This record gives sequence, structure tokens and C-alpha cells, in this order.
Amino acid sequence: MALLEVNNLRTEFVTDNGNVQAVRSVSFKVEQGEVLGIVGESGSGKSQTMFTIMGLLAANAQIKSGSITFDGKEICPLHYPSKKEYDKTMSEICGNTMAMIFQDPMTFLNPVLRIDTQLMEPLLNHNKKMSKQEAFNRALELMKQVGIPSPEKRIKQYPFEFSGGMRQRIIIAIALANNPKLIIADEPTTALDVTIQAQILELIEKLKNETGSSVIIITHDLGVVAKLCDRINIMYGGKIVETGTVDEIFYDAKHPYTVGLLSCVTNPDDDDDKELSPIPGTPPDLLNPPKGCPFVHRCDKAMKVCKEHPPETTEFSAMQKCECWLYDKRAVK
Amino acid sequence: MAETVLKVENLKTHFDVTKGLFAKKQIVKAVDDVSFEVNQNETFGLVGESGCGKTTLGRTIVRIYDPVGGHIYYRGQDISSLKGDDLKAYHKKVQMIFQDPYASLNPRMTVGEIVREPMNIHNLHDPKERDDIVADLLKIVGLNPDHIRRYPSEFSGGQRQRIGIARSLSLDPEFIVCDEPISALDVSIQAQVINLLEKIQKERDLSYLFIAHDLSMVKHISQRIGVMYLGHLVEVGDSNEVYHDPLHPYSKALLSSVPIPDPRISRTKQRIVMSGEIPSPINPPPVCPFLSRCPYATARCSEAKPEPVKIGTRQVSCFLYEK
Repeated sequence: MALLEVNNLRTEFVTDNGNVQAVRSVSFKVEQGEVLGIVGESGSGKSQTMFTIMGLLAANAQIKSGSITFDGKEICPLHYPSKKEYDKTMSEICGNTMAMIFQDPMTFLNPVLRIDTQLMEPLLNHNKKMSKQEAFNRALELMKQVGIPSPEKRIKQYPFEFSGGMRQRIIIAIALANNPKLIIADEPTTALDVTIQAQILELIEKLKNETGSSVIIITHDLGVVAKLCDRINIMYGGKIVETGTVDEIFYDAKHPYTVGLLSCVTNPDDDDDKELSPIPGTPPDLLNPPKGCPFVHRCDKAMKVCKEHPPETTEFSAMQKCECWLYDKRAVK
Repeated sequence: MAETVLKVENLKTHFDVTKGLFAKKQIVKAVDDVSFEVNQNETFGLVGESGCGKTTLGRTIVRIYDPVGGHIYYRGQDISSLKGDDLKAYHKKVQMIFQDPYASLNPRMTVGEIVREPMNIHNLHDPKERDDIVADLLKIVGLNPDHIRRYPSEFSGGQRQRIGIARSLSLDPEFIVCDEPISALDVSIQAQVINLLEKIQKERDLSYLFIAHDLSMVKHISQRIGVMYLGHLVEVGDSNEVYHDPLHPYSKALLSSVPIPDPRISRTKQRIVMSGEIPSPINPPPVCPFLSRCPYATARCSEAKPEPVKIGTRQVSCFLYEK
């Protein structure tokens, strides 16, 4: 059984101008020990999908439909009779068996608490029998694990005494505190320099191998995905338009958006500096998403049917699926 | 040999960050002893980690900051101490595109006013003609001239960056400093802006100083690149040469960290592990700036600063390459 299974998830945000349909019927699975990459541009719904799973949505969000099964347990608030019961379940899961690494290492840590307090918090909250001394020792161990030099001295310091890369390591250590089964990393390296990014990515890879946790990485950087992931979901306009293994996506992409995205990035090992082929136009407005395919206005292969009807899923292999009318049996080849 | 447009010699930009009246003087050497040249019609890329001084260098060249030492020659004229009308005349030729398209446009001015403002300041063209020029510029950067009365808040990030580009073009400059023009944009929009910059360069015979931390984009757009570390330009050379055969230990480590968007290469690629992070640029000791992180450091490196050495068309500041 999959560790995490999301089915037909829909999340909307109520605004003065109408409902923004941020997540539009998203379904996917994460297996044990797997690294899944979720790639998409800003506003594609990748972060909101994860916030829905973690129960971290803003106050104006409404979950319209869907089910989320984590570790055999339903964790979608729609299936709970009251908010209180949902919160009780989530407070047992979050920071314990499921943990999140946030995007911005500069704002995630509490500036007025020392590092040891912040590292011990998830340990003491989720392990009723653990003593403070045990938690402190575990915190030291975690700091060593994520590669912070002289942890005995550093653990007594405040966040402002750490650089960006070091803070991101602390955040990873906090996420790892209770040996989670699933780590969700939301753009873990976007705010960091390339040399620090490479250090952090290597650290995530190493920790994944050591602990056997599953990892979901949300990013817009295809280089990061190529390095770390087993499988990739490509999101666009609130939907998963294509999913497949890393090799299938990079070498045999089917959806025109995926193909376009891959031709937008330069491979620095390639010297001919050929002109980039950008995708024209801008992403759709999710206040009034297009009736048919979300990519229809930017797609050079768009047909009449794409405007009217949302595309059906076509399966290419055990892993690779794509939502595009081009691959429908009825399409003119 | 193409004509040299911009020549920077031993440029120094320092900031005094001393706190308190009687405290010891604290100087941030943001740019220290930097020399390079940019040729006509060329794109010179500048890369480095955050805090290495690349933005300060760009801003000093446009004279937003004043240098404390060294010279900047623009077509042979020393502009490092220009004032008043002479400086204004220089700004007509050298313009800048800023990093953050959300912060660099005045939210209370319409797009038309934003693009028109430099022409008003420099009293260029007949006031009636200016409107036509604004409409033309918007067309060139791929915006609808009918949007002339809209405000920046009505545009997306990529469109705002196009407005910034239109503004920088309004004086018909010869040289543009592009300070991370794409780092705030989405991948598919980045490619649009890069293609636009390349198209304008060809049409208008421009030279660019292109500052970015996205190494693969810099390599794509530049003919030559310079690698900066802690205020120093540690290596300069042809972009393909520097990328495939970096000489300076820092360039080697930096380039091996670039994530390659190709899983087969990515799996086999060896990374040079660089321990630690950039040291503080406040009152740095007179030694090699890379000393604390360099895997090849020798006793020599902690005694003096390496001078730039010429190797073919390359320039590298490291004792390893001293004859």
C-alpha cells in the first residue's frame, strides 16, 4: 500500500472577486522510500496541494472534495465530523510521522528562541516519556547528522548567528527529529546559493538513504529534480498534467507543457547556445480557469476539443500518464 | 579585435559600516581591486554567490555608488569621478535593468509615465514625439501599447520586467548593466526575457554586463564571463572555456555545483566539495580571499594576495598558476 494517496483533491480560495481554484482535482501516490518531485511554475498549485495535505491552508481556503490517505489513515478534513477531531489527528502526525521543510530559512525559525529549544520542541511534544536530557542529546545527534560543525557550541546559539545554509540545515534537523515516514520539502534550496544548494541536496539524499523516509520535493528547478527524484509530477493550472519516472519525463515527455518547460532551460554542457524556445503567453488565471485544457492558450498544438473539454488521461507505461487530447485514440495523428 | 567599450581598472568600492562614535573602523570591501574589459556588442557575464559584490560592481559602473579607488573608462573617458551634467550625459549612454520587477517600478506611475520619465529628465525628443516612442518601445518589448495608462500592479512579473527593459531602452543607450534581470521570474518566462534581451542586443548594437547567479543562463547569454568571490574577480575568460575548464579552485567548485537538468549526466557528475561558507567581507586580511575554503591552499596563500596571471585569453588570480 502506498504511504500517501491523494485522490481527486480540490481546494479553492474565497476572494472578493470569486473563488480561486488553486487545486483542481489532483490525484497521486507516494510509495515507501521514494522521492517524488512536484514541478510547476508559481501559481500552478504545487504548494497549495501540499498545504492541503498538511492542514496548513489559509483561513479563506475551502476544500471542495477529495480524500488523503496517509499511512493507512484518512487525513482529509472533509472526512472528520469536527475541526477539533481533525486538529487532534493532525497534531499527532505533523512533525512526527510527516514533516515539512519550508522554503525560506530566514523566517521559519523563531528568532527569540535558542536552537536547542526549537530542536527539542517536536521531540518533547511527540514523545511523552522522553526526558529533557534525552531530548537534548537527540538534538545534538541531529545537529551532527545534518553536518553542523561544533554542535555543542552552536546548539546554545540563536538563529541570527547562523547563515542561510546553516539555518536550512537546522530546519532539516527539526523535520528529521522523530524519524518521519514522509518529508515534504517546499522549495528547500530556492533561497540558497548554488554551492550551498549542492550541499543541502546531497544532505537530503544522504538522509533519505539512511532513514528510508519518503520525500516529496516541490520545486521549479529542473536541475534539482534531475539530481534527486525517482518520479516527477508536472503541475500546471492547478492540475497534474503529466507524471512519470525521471527518465520518462526528461527523455520522453508527452505533454506539450512538459516539452516546452524542458526547452526553456539551458543545458550548460551544450555549447552551441542555440536560441531558447520559450512558451509564449502567461499561465491561466485560476479565478476563471479555462473550460477545457488549462494549457490551451499557450499550446501550439491546440485543437478545437482542447478549448471545450478537459483532456482525459492517457497511460503510456506503468508510471507515465499524461492529460492531453493529442494522445487520445480519436485524435487525428 | 572588437573595440573596448568599458574598461575597469583596479576598481574599489568600500562601505563604512562602523557602529558608534569611538568604535574601531569597520570597512566592507564589497569590490576590491577588480579589473576587466567589455567589448563592443559583447555580453560579459558576472557570476558569484550572494554577497560576493557583483551587484555593487554593477552599480558602481553605473555610478549609483562612488568608487573609492581605481578607474572606470567608458570609450576611453574616465567616468569614475564625473559630476553634474557630465554624469548625466554618461547616464544617457549607460543604463541599468534592475533585479526585482516588483520593487523597481514606481507603483503610482502609469506604464507610459515610467517609460517616458528618462526622456523627460534628459529633455530628449519633442514632448509630442515622446508618446510615439513610448508606444514603439512597448511594442519592441512585447507589450500592448494600449496598456500605456495601466499601473505596474496590473502586470505579472515577466511583464513588469519588460516594462523595466523598455524604460532602460528609452534613452537609446549603448551599454546596459543587467542586474539579475531574470532571477525573480518563472522558468518559462525567463526564457522569454533572455530571448528579448538577445534580440534587442542584435538590433541596437548593444553591449551588456549581465549579472546573475544562475550559471547556466549566464553561460548561455555571455561570450565572456567573470567569476567573483568576496569582492575579487578571481577568473575571467571565454564562457565556454571557463565552464569546461575552470582554472581557479573557486570556479571549479562553483561550476561543479550547478545542477544539470539531465538525469543521466546528473547521476554521474562529480561535485567538488567546498566546505564552509563565504567569510565576512568586513576588514578582510590581505591574503587570498578563497584561503579559508580552498582545498589546494599552501603557506604562500596566507602571506599575500595573488596577482592576476594571464593564461592565453584567460585571467586568473591564483598562486597555482604563477610562473
